[in-house]
Amino acid sequence: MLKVRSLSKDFKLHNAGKEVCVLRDVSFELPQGKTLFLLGPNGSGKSTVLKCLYGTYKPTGGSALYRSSLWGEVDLFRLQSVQMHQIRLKEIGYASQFLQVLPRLSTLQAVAEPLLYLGVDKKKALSMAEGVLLKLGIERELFDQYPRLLSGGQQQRVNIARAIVKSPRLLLLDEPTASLDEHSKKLVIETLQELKCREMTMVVVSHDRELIDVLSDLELRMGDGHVDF
Amino acid sequence: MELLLKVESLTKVFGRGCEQCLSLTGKDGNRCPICGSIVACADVSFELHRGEWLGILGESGSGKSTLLRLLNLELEPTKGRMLVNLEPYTGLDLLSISPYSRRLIRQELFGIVYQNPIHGLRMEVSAGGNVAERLILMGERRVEKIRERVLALFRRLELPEDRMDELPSSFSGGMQQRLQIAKAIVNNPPILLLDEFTTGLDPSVQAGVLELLKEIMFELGISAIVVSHDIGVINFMTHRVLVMNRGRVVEHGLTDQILEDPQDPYTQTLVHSKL
Ligand SMILES: Nc1ncnc2c1ncn2[C@@H]1O[C@H](COP(=O)(O)OP(=O)(O)OP(=O)(O)O)[C@@H](O)[C@H]1O
Ligand SMILES: [Mg+2]
Ligand SMILES: [Zn+2]
Repeated sequence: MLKVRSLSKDFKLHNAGKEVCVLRDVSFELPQGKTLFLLGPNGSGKSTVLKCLYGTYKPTGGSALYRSSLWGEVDLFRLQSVQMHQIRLKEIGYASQFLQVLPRLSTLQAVAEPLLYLGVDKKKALSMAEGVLLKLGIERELFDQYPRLLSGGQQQRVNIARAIVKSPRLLLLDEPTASLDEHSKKLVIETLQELKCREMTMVVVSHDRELIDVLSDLELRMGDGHVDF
Repeated sequence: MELLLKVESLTKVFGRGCEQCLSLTGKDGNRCPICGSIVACADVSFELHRGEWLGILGESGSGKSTLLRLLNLELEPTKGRMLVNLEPYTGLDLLSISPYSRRLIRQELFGIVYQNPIHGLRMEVSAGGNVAERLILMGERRVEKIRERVLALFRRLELPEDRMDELPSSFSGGMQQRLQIAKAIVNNPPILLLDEFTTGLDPSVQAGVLELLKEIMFELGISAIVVSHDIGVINFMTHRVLVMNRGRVVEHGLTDQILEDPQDPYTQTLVHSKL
């Protein structure tokens, strides 16, 4: 499903005249329906791997062959931005470490939004969003709130809800349980388990032993490849 | 995504121009050292897809507004082609047609919202009249139909219906921009052009207009080109973005990629200084 070969990432900061190497030669293979955990100390580049896969960062080298439902096998690192945009909309879900949503959209609307982009009608989208939020333990009373007024743990679950609401084929999760209490964590883990049963392929950054024990098929330990030139 | 608009080598030189205008500008400035002409847009090419929102990001003077006015067929280009994938115009270079037909095609294809409402609204015509005018120009003659449509748009844009007969000049800045939007979309054009349309508004009003517009753009499934020097607006309103400097596109990509991992030195300065 996903074959990453020799991924490297340098940040060239032209004005500071500096080059920062964050990733060197990262490779892994992930069959469909399997879950890969990226492990390693702070700053070892775990989030950078996710962002390269999602196209938020431009990799310096390497390839990521991905079997898309849209066009068969593609190299995510070499797609045109229009195509990457399309693949993201349809088949990749990404929940970053921190929630980034729109100021005046309600929680429910924020979660329904990815479906609207896919042309799902508004009523259906809202009801699907509702289902996902409830499953993750976000109560109805919060649906009309602005996400930025929610607690850290609630925001994190809204973020996950946004990523999974369209049932992506590939799910990228960055520290999905980092700020959750035991109960919320249990709900998130159950939800992810269910998705796994439905053959969703996942790449997860996490230090959470419980999450790893339940979901992990493969693990990639990343050293601190952080080298400054 | 279906291709909607293809722009090739769009170029605008203000002044008499010479052979070397393009090759001698871009690095240090956009004024040709030989003939003194200003190269406002140089070889700009891009594609716009159906339902896609494309941003044009750049500093003052980088050529964003010139580009938008070229797209809106308001300005005679020095060079370039513009192809639209829409019957009955498919395959036709919009820039090659006569100025008269161009005006009609412009009304049909594009809605535009300017930074300064003076450019987008006729201040001596009533607010409702401003919106109706465009429909009439498109050939609608049924008064009842026109009234209905204008009323619906006033409601959708949260404009006070009871002030339809007032002149736009009595409206607040935010209301004037919403009126411009109503006028721009009244005949359901496939492409919306937005030029710094929230720049003059105070931040709280800005957020309201942006969100309302985004909602409407979703509903219509309209494609858009959003010109702004405001990274927040670009982030909020666009999927992809072209970065312009001295009339050139220096970088393009997914909006989050451009904002989080810009490659070009100019973009890096622009993004990092504003974050
Ligand atoms: N009618 C004109 N005659 C001569 N030069 C012009 C004309 N219109 C624009 N220019 C020049 O073209 C260049 C690009 O101008 P443009 O208005 O397109 O920039 P912009 O990116 O929209 O800037 P801003 O962010 O300030 O609106 C500038 O150097 C400007 O002075
Ligand atoms: Mg301008
Ligand atoms: Zn010249």
